[in-house]
Amino acid sequence: MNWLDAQPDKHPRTASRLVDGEAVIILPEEGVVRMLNQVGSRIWDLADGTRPVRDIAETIYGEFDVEREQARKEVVEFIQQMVEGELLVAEASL
Amino acid sequence: MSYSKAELGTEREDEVRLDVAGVVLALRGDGVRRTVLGAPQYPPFLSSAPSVATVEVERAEVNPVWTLPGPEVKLEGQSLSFGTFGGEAYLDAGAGSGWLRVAADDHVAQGALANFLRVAYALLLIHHGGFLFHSAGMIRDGRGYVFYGHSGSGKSTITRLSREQATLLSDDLVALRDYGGAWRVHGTPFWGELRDYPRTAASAPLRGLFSLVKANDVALEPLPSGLAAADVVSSVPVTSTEPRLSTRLIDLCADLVARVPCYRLYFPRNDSFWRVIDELA
Repeated sequence: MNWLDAQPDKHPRTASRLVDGEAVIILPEEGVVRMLNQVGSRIWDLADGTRPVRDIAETIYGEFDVEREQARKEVVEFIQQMVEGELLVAEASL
Repeated sequence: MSYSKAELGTEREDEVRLDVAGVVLALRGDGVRRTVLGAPQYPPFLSSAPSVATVEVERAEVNPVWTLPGPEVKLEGQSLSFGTFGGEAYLDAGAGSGWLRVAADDHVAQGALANFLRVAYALLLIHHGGFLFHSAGMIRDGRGYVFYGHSGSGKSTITRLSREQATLLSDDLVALRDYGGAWRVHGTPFWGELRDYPRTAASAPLRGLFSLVKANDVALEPLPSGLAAADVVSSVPVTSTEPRLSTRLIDLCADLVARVPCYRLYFPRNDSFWRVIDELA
């Protein structure tokens, strides 16, 4: 599966806001509030349905102290987890 | 006890208006005055101001078999459907109208009304720049403070400890409302463990939000605003499948924590915490 070309977006069931750079996300159906760390919050902010994962990973590489390959790997893993948790929507291509 | 027309806020014999944090709700129907005024918590909240919503209250002739163990609430868009022991209701906050059917028995009807009002105000306040907040609230020297945390964190304890020190607004649910960037805390009829304490509709500028932690010594720790916003959102008693309502709520909470300092308060079982809070003023 190729996740690098997927364009993740917020799941419509979520409501969120960046507060001081940290993403606060409400899952209303479950009555749950989640917070992301600094890197996760930046990925969340960038996941707006217009950017492919490879561009998001490139931005993370540029802004944080991480190797390019490591950034790609971790961004893909993070986005997969968020899609599985129905916080983001994205479709990987074959 | 009898009330003047001015106190009751209306010429109509079949109407009572309640004001929580400046949001006025009219309850209309045969016997509604008896139901409302028969409960001691509402008189400080009687109002003569125009209402934002009117709820037609209908009394069943016999007690229907409503067996829900607790309130069941469904929020969709601007409206809520509600069922509880002894009552069911619908309210459209956008249209400003709704209905409430309650049991014939006064005691059961008052319980159903109390549950309905909590839910109705949770929704109405969000539409008017505020929200109900699970917390103890107090006014001390003209400044408003709220203390929040999970069940058992000490909201009722800190209220008891402050009985001689502050005006008590609630030990369970206060109303917070934004007035053009200035947040105020308001008393409500909605109390928890300390249900026999006197109610007040008093309000004050909000000067601090405190997340409660029981401890041996008093200490105050500033909370980063992201964590504070998540904390505050978690203590708002609204669950909606409607993302717009949730987005509105999260925006309100983010604005609140940007304007009002938030702390974690470690406190022992005495009133020494006021000393460190007073030093903030």
